[in-house]
Amino acid sequence: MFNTLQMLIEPTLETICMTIVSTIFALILGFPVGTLLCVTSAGNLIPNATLNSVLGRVVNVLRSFPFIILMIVIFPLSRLIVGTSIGTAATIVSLSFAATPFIARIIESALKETSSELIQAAKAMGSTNAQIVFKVIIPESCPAIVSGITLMIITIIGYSAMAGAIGGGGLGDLAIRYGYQRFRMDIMIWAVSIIVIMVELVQFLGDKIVDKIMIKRGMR
Amino acid sequence: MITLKNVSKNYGGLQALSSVSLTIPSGTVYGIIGRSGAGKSTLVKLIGLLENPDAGEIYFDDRRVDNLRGADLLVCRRQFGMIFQHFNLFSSRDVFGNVAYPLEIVGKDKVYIKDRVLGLLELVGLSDKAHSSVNKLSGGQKQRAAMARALAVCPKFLFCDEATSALDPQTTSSILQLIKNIRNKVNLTVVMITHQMNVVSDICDYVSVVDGGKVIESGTVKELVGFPHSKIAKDFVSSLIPSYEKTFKNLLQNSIIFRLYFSNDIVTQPIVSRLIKECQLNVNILSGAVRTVKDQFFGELVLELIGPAQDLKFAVDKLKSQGIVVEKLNV
Repeated sequence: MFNTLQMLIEPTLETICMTIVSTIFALILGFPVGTLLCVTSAGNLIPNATLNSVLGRVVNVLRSFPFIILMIVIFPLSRLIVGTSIGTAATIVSLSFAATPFIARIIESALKETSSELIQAAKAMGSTNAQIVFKVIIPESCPAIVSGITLMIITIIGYSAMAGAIGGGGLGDLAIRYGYQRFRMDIMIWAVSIIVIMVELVQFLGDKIVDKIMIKRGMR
Repeated sequence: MITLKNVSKNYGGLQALSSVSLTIPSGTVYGIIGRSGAGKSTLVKLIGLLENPDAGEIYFDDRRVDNLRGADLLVCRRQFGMIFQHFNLFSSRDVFGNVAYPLEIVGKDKVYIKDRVLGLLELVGLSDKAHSSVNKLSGGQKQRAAMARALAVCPKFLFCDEATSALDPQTTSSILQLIKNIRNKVNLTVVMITHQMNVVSDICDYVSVVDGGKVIESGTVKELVGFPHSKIAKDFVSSLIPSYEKTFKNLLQNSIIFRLYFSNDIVTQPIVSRLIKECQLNVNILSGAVRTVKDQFFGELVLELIGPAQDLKFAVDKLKSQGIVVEKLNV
């Protein structure tokens, strides 16, 4: 029992680390793309059909890749950036890139919830486009952004478990190598349980934060 | 002063405004009234510099503004305040933050902002709500907050886009009172875009009636209420009192009904008895009202006139020569 628990500690930490770091990178890459997708759409702040459709196509193509294939495609890039294509660091590279188009779409749809009337009002006050994005659209969409990020973190936890199948480290890796290949049912159950708890925890926290914002804004 | 010269706007084949010319004098409250679809919203977008006209020119105090670009446009937009039917307050900010927004974007320092915002909240009567969420305010309070936000940059012009249309009558009059008070304190030109005639008669000095993308009638509110010329202006004026027009039409299908508009000294004259004595007519009074707009009296009478055709014509001509507007309600 004690041995089993000891075996679980490192992969759990790895999964947490992969999730957090990938989320941060995916946000850094995906947030601006999502914002661009939103503001360049028809009738929005700076409509630009060409940029919008090119960006939209790229995002769609990347999103239609099954994650496991995308990881393999990204191996050379991982080798270039972190010097290896297996283990936690390599998985972070793949996860970040895989989640970027996903978060871009989530941010886009969250930001689009800001009413065009409100944007017009901000415009009429003489706001620059940057001020409208940073002082109006993003703060107004805060609850939707938080629930979007919650969804993204959960997806990344899922992806990171999948990454275990191709030597990615973390709980998924453990579950496959011990639980599946060596018939250690107990380890399989433990690993899966920890993942379930993580997902529940993230969802709970995300909901709590959204709730808090909504209450502060008098919307609930 | 705001001047529009032959302004036109087209939306994909739909002529929203065609060759509109208006002059809004400084320091006045100018009403623009029209039904929905008349072109009011387009007019707001154009004078609010949110869209450019397809043809024509717009001037703010002799400066042409419809062709401004970039930084000039931003600076020009900061000269006016705007309030809206649906308030358009930022949920992400409390009342204080909303009023502070226009000051933040022009880079005012925090001490100035705090001072100015608190002063404005006092002006609109929301001092105790500074740190409330805007969603917890009532409709009237929201419009007050929006007004404080619009006035933050000390604008020369205040545009009110259906600002009272979402409010109940009592709240509407309190908001109008607030606009009057503010105008007495600061030099402000107010443009009220509305479909409510009572708003126009309550607060405006001048009014333009728009319909089908055109200005149908313009003048002082007194002129419009006293002597409406166009059909649409007459409809707006009669909306000030309950209209029984339909009832009359159904009740008295074979009779001839006239509506008379008159003002001031005519109000005190015995119009009906003169019709009876001098024109030899039988008169049936269907409705009548006298109302006050800005210390002047305006009367409206709806009469059924019974008599031979030539006597009726004589009577109508006589009424018209006295300065009474006569409108035949049924044919």
